[in-house]
Amino acid sequence: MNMWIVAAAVMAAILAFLLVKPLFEPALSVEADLKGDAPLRNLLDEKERTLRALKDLELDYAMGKIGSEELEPARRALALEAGKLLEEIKRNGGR
Amino acid sequence: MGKIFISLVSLFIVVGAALIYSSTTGTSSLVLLPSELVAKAEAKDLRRIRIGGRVIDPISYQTEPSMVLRFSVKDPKGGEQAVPVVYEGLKPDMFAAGRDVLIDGDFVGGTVRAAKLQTQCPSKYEPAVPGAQQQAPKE
Amino acid sequence: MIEFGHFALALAWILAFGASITGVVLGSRAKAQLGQIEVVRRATMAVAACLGCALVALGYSFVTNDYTVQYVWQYSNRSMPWIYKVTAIWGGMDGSMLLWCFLVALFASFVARASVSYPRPLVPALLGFLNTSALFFTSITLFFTNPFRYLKTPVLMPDGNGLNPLLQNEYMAIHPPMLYLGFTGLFIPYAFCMAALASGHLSNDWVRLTRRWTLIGWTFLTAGIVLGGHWAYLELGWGGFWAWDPVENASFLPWLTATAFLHSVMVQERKGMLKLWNVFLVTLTYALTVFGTFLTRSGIVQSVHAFASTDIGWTFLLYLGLIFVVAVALVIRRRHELSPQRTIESLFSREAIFLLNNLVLLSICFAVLWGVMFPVFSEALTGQKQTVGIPFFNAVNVPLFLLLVFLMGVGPVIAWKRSSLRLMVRSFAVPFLGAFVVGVALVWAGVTEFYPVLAYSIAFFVLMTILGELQRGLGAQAAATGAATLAPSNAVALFRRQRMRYGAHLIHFGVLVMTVAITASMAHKVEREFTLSSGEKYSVGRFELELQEFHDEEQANYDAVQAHVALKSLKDGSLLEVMAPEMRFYRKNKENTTEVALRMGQREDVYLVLAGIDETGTRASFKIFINPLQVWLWYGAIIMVLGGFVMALPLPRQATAEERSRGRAEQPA
Repeated sequence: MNMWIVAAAVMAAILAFLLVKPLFEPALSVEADLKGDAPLRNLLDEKERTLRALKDLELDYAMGKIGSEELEPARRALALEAGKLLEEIKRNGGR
Repeated sequence: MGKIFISLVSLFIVVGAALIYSSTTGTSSLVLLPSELVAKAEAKDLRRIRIGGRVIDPISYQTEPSMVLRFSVKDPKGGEQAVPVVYEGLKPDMFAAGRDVLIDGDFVGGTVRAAKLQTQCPSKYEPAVPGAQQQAPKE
Repeated sequence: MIEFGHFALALAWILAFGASITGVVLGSRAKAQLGQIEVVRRATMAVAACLGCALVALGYSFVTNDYTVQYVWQYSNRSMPWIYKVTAIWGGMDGSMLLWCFLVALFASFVARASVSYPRPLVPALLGFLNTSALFFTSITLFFTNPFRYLKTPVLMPDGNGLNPLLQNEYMAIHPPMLYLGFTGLFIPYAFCMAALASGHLSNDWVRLTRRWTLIGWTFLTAGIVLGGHWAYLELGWGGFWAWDPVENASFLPWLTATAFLHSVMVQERKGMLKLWNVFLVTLTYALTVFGTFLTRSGIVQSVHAFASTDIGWTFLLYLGLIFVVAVALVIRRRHELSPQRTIESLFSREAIFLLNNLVLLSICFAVLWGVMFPVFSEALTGQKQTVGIPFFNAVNVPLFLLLVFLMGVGPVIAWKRSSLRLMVRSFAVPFLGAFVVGVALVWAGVTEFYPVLAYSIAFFVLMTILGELQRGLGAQAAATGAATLAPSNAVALFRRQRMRYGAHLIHFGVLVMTVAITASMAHKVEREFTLSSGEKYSVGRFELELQEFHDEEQANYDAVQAHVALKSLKDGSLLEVMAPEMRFYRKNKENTTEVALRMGQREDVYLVLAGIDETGTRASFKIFINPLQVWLWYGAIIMVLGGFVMALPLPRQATAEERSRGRAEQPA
């Protein structure tokens, strides 16, 4: 008659076991850092953005959206920026 | 924030507001219950109204020479004031006495001339639950 | 069974409650144990499992005709085919809320599953915020709209009340779940965004990780909205597909802001601009999905198909308030990290066009919201309730939409940062000229109304720019690899290399097709009423209709009468199809409905409704709509959804590796 109570108890037991298990696993008892290095992360983001901008620039040139007279100065500026960023990243302990 | 950002945003606020304002004033209609309509109109004509009411008998639907649906509506919450409605067009699905309808049109000469008639429904389909207090219908 | 469902629902609530609090608390700490994060992750998945069990329990009660359950009694009966018994789960409010909960939890569990590879500082807060949303909807279901309740009758009911006949339709089987998938999918970007703000991990990570989820939600929402329109078109018998009804608008509002976000997020990813703007868009999108649920379930505005007005409206308002308070508080806390890294340099840049696109979409959103809420506003301000209808929505939205479509042609052709004006003029000259020629040709052909001519011209302009983009892309690809420009392999390579870009073009192309179809069906629709006796004929457009006979039919749950009408070509009299519009009488509910007879064609749809049969049973009245190019609306939507999936599908492994190596090669020394 009270099949559902049995089913509910089984379900609750399985869930409880699966949920609590990670707390007793030695491999997972490590403390993880949740703050991270915000300045470095921003620098890395900017590096990505600069590289992306370089790629976009090449693509826009290939697709005829900018001319060669715009391409070169823009590319030089971006390369310069990328160089600066890489240096700063190195200073901040990144790669 | 850059100059371009600020100017574009302000431009859109101004233009958008003007567009919405002009469209609203030209198309808005009064929302009335049948009893409010009778009280408000006092035999005057009213343009651009929306009536939410409950259909009551008699309903006549002729299809020749053109489709004309005649019926009356009263307040969904009861009340005695019935307003006659004429709708030239196809009888909507599930239209029947006791149903709530939305009517958009004009009130001319004591009759609502409906330009648009909608049966209020599809999802609103809460039957009375026997023996239990009802969940919703407050009408 | 019903107790088990109730138990599973309650368990889901407890788990969601625990997981949301633990997640947010862990997320606010500097350090956390991996095991603790793993518990929250598992709890998130367990919520979905529990709600899945609850849903199965409810479905089981439906399929086994358990009329001791109030909800089952209300929405099904024995004569319904089993498939409609299953779809009746979301036929009413209680079950649809349960389905909603389940889908929220399902999406949350997918994110939780993927979260092992996410940047760790983001994860606890992310799991927490995913669960706050699940918690809210589970609370509503458990405490206010619980479908697991017994019918309080002294005697056992032999049969159920039955599902509304209009909902006994295959579209109702997939339209609501699609829409809900869209709605619930769009809460994921919100959870990511709030988690990023709460944890302070505001790098590009959340933007990048959230894109696929936004695309998935957006694609489902698009499909859901169009399916709703298709259902209305087939079933409601008024010849149209969109009536700007509050319920339709409720699904459209978050679509607009999600579309805006999909564009502006690219600007943030590439330029570090519009960060605050994107937080606003994401929060607004989520708030609008909640608002949509509120709108359709609170009865604050009159709608053709509002759900029963209930008293749970205040909980939604409370939650909406909470969403904004939390967002504002987090934004204030992180205001320094949200300042833009660059500004827009030129009006002729991709970022400026994207901003314009956002502003147009938000204007449409605001106008629609204004229209929906106008009865409430006007009553509050003037004491007299007023409303606006289709004329208002068309007057405001037609120009804004045309501007949007126009921008769709401009955006992709313009370069990031700053375009060369000289080259821009060159790329736009041919499309502009083409659009002008199309406009003149249309006027010459007799289409003289302003908006249709403008709409077709703009659509042609955008088509030309998209094709131009494709041609230049193929050319550049061919130049780089030495393949022939028009070789299929060249096109395939280009698509694979720049899937996102061409997926977007595909979506834009779908929008174009829809624009043309909507314009045609709005501007050149033909609508006639007529009455025929057997053997009589009526001609309209390039068709002739002849009434042949009546045909009675008896089905399990309804009686029907069909009129067989021969549709012939007016030119040569050849028979195209025998159409059979139908009137139905559902015995159980004593409801009359009409079934439309529809002949879909590439050029136009013939849409025939049987309006009535006279007392003698020999003469029938009909209403006919000729909807030009209607079918292209659905094709356009299919293209859009296809484009969405092309963009949302996971990248094949090789391509990412290849892109990475190319990225390295391009790195300046």
